[in-house]
Amino acid sequence: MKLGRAIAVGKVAVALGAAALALAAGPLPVIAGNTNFLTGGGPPTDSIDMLFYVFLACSSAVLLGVGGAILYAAVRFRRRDPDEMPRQVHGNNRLELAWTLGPLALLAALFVLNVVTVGYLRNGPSAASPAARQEIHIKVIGRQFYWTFDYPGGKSSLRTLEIPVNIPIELTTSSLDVIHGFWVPNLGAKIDALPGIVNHAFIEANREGTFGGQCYEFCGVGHDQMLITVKVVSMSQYQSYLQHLPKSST
Amino acid sequence: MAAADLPLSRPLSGRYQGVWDWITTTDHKRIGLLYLYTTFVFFLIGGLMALLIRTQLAQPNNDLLTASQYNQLFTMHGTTMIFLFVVPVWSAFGNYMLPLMLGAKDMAFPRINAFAYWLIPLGGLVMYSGFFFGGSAADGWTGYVPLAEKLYSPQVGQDLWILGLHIVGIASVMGAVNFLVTIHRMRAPGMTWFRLPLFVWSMEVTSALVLLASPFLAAALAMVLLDRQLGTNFFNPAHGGNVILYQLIFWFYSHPAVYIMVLPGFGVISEILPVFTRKPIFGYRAMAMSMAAIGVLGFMVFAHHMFTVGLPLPVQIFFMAATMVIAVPTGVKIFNWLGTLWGGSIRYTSAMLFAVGFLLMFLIGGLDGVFLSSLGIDYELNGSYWVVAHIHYVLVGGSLFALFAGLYYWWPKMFGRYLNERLGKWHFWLLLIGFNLTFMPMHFLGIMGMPRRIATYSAASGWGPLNLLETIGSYLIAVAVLVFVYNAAISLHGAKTAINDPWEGNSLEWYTTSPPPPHNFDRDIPLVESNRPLRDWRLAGRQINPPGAVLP
Repeated sequence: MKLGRAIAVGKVAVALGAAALALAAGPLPVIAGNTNFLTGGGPPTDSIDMLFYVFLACSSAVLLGVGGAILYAAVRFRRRDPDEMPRQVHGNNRLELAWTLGPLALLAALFVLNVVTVGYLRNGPSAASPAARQEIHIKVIGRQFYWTFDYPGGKSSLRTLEIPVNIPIELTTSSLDVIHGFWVPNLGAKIDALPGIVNHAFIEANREGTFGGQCYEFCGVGHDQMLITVKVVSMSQYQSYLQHLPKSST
Repeated sequence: MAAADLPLSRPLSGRYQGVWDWITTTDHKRIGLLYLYTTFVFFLIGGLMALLIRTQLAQPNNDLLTASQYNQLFTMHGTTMIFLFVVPVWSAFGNYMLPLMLGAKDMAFPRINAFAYWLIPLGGLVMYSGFFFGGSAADGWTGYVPLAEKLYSPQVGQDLWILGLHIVGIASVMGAVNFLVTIHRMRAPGMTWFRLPLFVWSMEVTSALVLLASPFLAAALAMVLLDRQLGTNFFNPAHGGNVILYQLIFWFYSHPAVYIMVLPGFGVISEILPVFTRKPIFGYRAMAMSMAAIGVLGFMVFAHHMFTVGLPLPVQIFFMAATMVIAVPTGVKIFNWLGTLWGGSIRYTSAMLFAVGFLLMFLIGGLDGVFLSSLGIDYELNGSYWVVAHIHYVLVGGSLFALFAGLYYWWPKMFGRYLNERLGKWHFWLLLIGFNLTFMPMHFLGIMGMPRRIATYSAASGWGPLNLLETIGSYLIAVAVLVFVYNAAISLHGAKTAINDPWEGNSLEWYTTSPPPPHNFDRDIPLVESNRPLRDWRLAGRQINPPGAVLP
């Protein structure tokens, strides 16, 4: 009977989790701002958003199921009579096995989902795909307390990065002093800019517009001023932008 | 007369006798209280720093604090709360309760115990003294290089921070050895490993973690100190040094440290739930073994703090897997606590309220951590306010709620007086509301792109309203803490009315007076035959409370 009750609680949990997902998927992306990865902006962010919503659904189900069961037990099993003596249950091996293996199976599924996504997020589209062949390479350099961006052809810009829409951009990040972090939430995975080590990352936008971001790795008194503005424009605008940029000094 | 009773020097007489007794004490109960008082003062200091931080962030473009002041404050807030409050505060309960729960007269090494305690305030003062010599450390409690190198942090406060942490680290290791030896060698007759109170199990695993992990923190800090003072180049990329090396060594300590901070809280909750449900803990062996599993796995997840530094993908995938696996024993604990509540006869003392609050808040702290284990989601949320939310749900919703649960539970034993239950309930509800107001919105700020550790932000970011809400929440937490301080003050001025065993406890600390006499037990301890010896004896008709005692 106890097991049956536990299964019933489980069913309720799944139903509540689905409801929570429906609720959460509605309002969350509405939170304004051009630094919110749930508002999308490009293919890498879309796959991260997918992961986020799957995790949100699973954790909402667990929160409502387990949290709900804790609250239910906390209210339902209040002491009503000072001499009351409950049944002395020392445990239940089948239940304990179930709540060891159940979460393990759920986490294994989440793990697999992550593993199949992560290569793309870190390395960009596979080398064989047509999109990858027209990748643009940009060098991101962090220093106290601003960013510079070195484009192909020896051109360089300060604080504002301009990229063409619908083209994967390969970034190499490094730092001239302490550790900084390059993060433009709507366009892809964040990556550290380290002194002495070159890191690779990849961003891509699927709509034109302006996106914000800033340094996420604490770097000193000007940390909050290390803002990044990314302007996503058409290919022709990008090319005329490049022509008007000064040559890189580094 | 045991060696532990010999005075360290000729005692003073008269006016300062009492102070002298406290300074020279080797009694585990007094040392436990010293730990409690000291860490609570550090908690209040760290809390004041948090209030300043929250006030600065209450609105966009605020200039209440300069960036430099802000950076010192968030650095010292984290350092204080972690190294001077949450880690050593468990030594307060460990010292006071562990020998009592084992039926022992004292800790195994009373003088080492006293020495370890006195290093804590010393270490704290050394760290804080930076404020008077051109500014304290200002690069976060993580002290990442190269920011912590002399070139970028020239102030002597950075060196003092390292030295202070070394001193506190030595205290931790000495305490850990003492706990381990006490648990292994000084258990009452019949108290086998699976009859130990779960709080003792938690201190066993915690102490093993401290012993194995602390040397790594010391190593990382020593390398920074050598770089700063002797011109070595461990972390100087210009001379072949590697800045990632620091993070690897630092997190090899600092991830287990999270379990050092929360495992004793698990132990406290596992003591309190059975008493106030009148049921045995659900799945005792699984509870003990899951703590051991967390201890072992805790060493294998540290690089999940470094998913964005550019480690090779297979390495990242390994650490994602290990991080997800560690959620399993943690989940077992939550489920087994739920199993303990289920079908129980729950009595809501303040201690029990805090314990149930712990279950719910720690559940949230576990779940929002699972997001961060994901390669992908972490590439967005790493270094954001989501991380700040997560760590506070674990260390405040987890450790601090468990700590208050333990204080309400053991207060009568430690002070011979009760805390006011009505004020206790005010304390609980104010803290619960204030805590969630402060830290729940941080999840949303993380999603909205707010990085941690920024001194201010623009109005255009849209982060203002949630930050204001958090600041209001943080003041509510302050009110809750003041309610507790008031409660403690009136309790300590009241009459000593606490009986031996006010809660119908299960473990040996309730088999003596409140507070206990110098050598803990004035009567012989019968053979321990289960993990609830006191309950066995009570049911067998043995007198535990003095005749005519009234339960609160």
